[in-house]
Amino acid sequence: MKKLFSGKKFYIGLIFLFLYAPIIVLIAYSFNASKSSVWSGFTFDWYIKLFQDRALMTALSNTLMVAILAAIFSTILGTIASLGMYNLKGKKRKFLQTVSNIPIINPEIVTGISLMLLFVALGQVLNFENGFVTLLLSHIGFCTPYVILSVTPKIRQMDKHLFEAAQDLGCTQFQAFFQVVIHELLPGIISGFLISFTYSLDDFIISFFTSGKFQTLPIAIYSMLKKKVPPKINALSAILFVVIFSALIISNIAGARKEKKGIESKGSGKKLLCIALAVLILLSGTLIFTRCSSKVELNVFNWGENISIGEDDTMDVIAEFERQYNCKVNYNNYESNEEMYTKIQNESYDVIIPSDYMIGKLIAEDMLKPLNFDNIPNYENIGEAYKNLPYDPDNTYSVPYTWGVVALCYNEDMVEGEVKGFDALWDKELDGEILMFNNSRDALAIALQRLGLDASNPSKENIDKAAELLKEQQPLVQQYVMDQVYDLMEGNQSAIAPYYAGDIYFMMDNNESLNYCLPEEGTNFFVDAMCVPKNAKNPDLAEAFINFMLEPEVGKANSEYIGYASPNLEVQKILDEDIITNELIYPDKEYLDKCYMYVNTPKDIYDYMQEKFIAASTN
Amino acid sequence: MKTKKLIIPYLLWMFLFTLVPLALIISNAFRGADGNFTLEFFRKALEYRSQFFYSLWVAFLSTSICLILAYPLSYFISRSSARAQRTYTMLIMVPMWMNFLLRIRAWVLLLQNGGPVDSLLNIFGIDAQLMGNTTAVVLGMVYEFLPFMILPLCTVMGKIDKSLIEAAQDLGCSKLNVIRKVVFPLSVPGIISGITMVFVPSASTFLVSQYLGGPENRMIGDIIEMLYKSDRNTASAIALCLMVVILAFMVIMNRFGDEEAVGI
Repeated sequence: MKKLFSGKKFYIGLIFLFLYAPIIVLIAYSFNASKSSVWSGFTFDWYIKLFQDRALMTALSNTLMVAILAAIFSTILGTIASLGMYNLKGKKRKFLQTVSNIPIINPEIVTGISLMLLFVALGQVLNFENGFVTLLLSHIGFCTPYVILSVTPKIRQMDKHLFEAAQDLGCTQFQAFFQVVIHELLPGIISGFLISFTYSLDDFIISFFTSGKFQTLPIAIYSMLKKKVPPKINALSAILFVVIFSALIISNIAGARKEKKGIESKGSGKKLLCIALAVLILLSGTLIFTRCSSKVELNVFNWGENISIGEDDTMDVIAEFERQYNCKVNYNNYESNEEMYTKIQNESYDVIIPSDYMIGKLIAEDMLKPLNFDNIPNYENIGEAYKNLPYDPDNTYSVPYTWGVVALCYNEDMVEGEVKGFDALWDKELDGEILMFNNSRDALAIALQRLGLDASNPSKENIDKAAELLKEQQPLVQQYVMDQVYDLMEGNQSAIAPYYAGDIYFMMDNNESLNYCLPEEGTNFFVDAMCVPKNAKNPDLAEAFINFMLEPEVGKANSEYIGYASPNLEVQKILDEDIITNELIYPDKEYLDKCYMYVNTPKDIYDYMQEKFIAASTN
Repeated sequence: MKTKKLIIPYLLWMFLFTLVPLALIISNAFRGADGNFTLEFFRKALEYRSQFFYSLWVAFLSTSICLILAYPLSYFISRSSARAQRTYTMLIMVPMWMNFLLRIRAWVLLLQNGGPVDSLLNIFGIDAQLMGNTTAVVLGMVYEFLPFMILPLCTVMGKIDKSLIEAAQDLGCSKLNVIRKVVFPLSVPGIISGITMVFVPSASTFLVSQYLGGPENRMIGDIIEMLYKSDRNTASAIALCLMVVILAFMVIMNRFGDEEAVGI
């Protein structure tokens, strides 16, 4: 008997070790001195930086608010629905259960986009924009089926005559329902509530498409996927974890005490729960209310981690702009040009910062507003080399923000011989240690270049050839990556990877064995530029914002935070000597002449690239 | 209990937020750029059939492992005191409140070459590539969805009348037989809920294989995610196929469950 007992404890312990090991790692890295995945000393810095990041704190309160409300509403809806469903007969019930499970089955992105389409259509009729309400509705939508799944088994176990018995014993229908039925189902209801809360708290994809300009924490985190999720996010998780854990322990101790004293804790527990819920709902309400501000609003839509946010006494660019222009900036992030493109179809932003080829596409589709350069006098700070680029030949719609090239990052300890160009990515010696872009445009461009074909605007025929070459490379590839490149290269897990110059600079900072190579055959030269969409509500302020971003001090702060090169000559003058002379970030003109830019490709070609890349990198 | 009317709000809800969006997906999958009916997108979707079946296979493995791991655990938990049960439930949920991406990345750090798990195995002379294979992907899935197996099982097992088990023991049932003949049949509804809650998301989720797997481990969720940015029609067609297969699976599960439930 004794032996079995210890075996049981051992087993439970093992499962909890499994569940908590990653959490321990996650928290440990919130104290890591460097941004890298390699341990380099203890620091509290990330906790300080966390509280300096206003956008993150707002996102956190948004997330908690939505999760609580979604869990409450879906628990109510789901419990009622499962009771109703249980009383239906066979086929009908099966059918409803099946329909009810659709949101669970559907890949989230499909649910997300289809809900977005629905909300946009409804919004046009009823005149509302996607935001808090649509986000909440979609969360209730995908949480309710889980509530039904966890309440239904409880109903099946419940004695069918319980409700009648309660009534026979003098309960009103109402009393019988709340005091008897609900009491019986309570464990199922609670686990349904917890599951809903959990899913809502961590949902990214559906939220991204239905949240409008209401940004939650997962959206903020995923928008950093091109760069790297900074350890301050770990710090935030650590704080959440400690708070939840202490709450658990306190409630546990309180519970133990009550049990000892023999107090009937049920009634008071319920009352407490009700009060807690009421307070939470009130709190959420006031939070939303205080968000409504009477100031002029500017909606900015930018890549994740793409602006200086005031860490370590640098400039908090957004706050500074708000102060100078007495306005409120709604600052939202995206992770790829394509995601941004989907969202701006239905929502109005004042400033967006897409990449070159996407700007070409937006111009071709007449979605951008010509800029009034009288409002942007600082435009003269932009170097001639960065004006009138192929995506916007007369420079009417865009003002460059950052630029860079695609380069190679390699580990000197793992790569023998010299790395000269993209050929190294096909080196059989490096089998299983090669990383490749997980994005069709950049991956195919490298293959096209290697074949000596036009990579800026390829034909279908050439795409086929390039895809063939990628297919040849596939067995050698360790992984197709975006942000994972940081962890893998810094942690000496991979030998070589193509990535963006500014990011390689940061990686080299964290691992001395890493070096870079500007491919001798030339490479992709890219620009992210600021534009104003045609449906912007506040184009004048948008232009003021663009002008502000071109101020030398602002540009310097941004450039240092992002790591990408600045097209602003005044900024280049005041940047650190080390950076401005760095060949990787600021390649000389001779090298740039060998480079090419992406241009807007027709939709069918673009789709074709995507399709071919997936096929070549998968099979 | 005459509570049929209770279904009405949810019926309206499902119509608006499930069926209408579903109709949008179906129309995406069958309607070409010219607005006419076409099967072209299903033809394209067929190209991804190997990833499709691979995803179902991974989901099957993950679900089975979750069930095997969760069943004894849930039994132990459901036998403990009410307060301990509450604490265990919370302890199981808390890790899930940390961001999903961060947790998966933490697994990458744990499993990488020279990482803690690798070093530990090296001590025992085992030198294995821990990442970039199906095992790692399944591990990620099990980690991600195990709580959704444990919770419904705990809920159901907690409801089993203790005197039933005692009675069985008094009548000379061995421990194994108590579980096989008493606990198991009574826990079937929980098993079915758990299987559904694990199988379905692990077949369609994305990012897990992108982080823990290699190029061969790409799953259908990742493909849909990548395709949806450019080619919504084909992505919708794949999503629809996935939905049909999973729905069929669930209908079978439900039928099985109902028969068992009647037998109780």
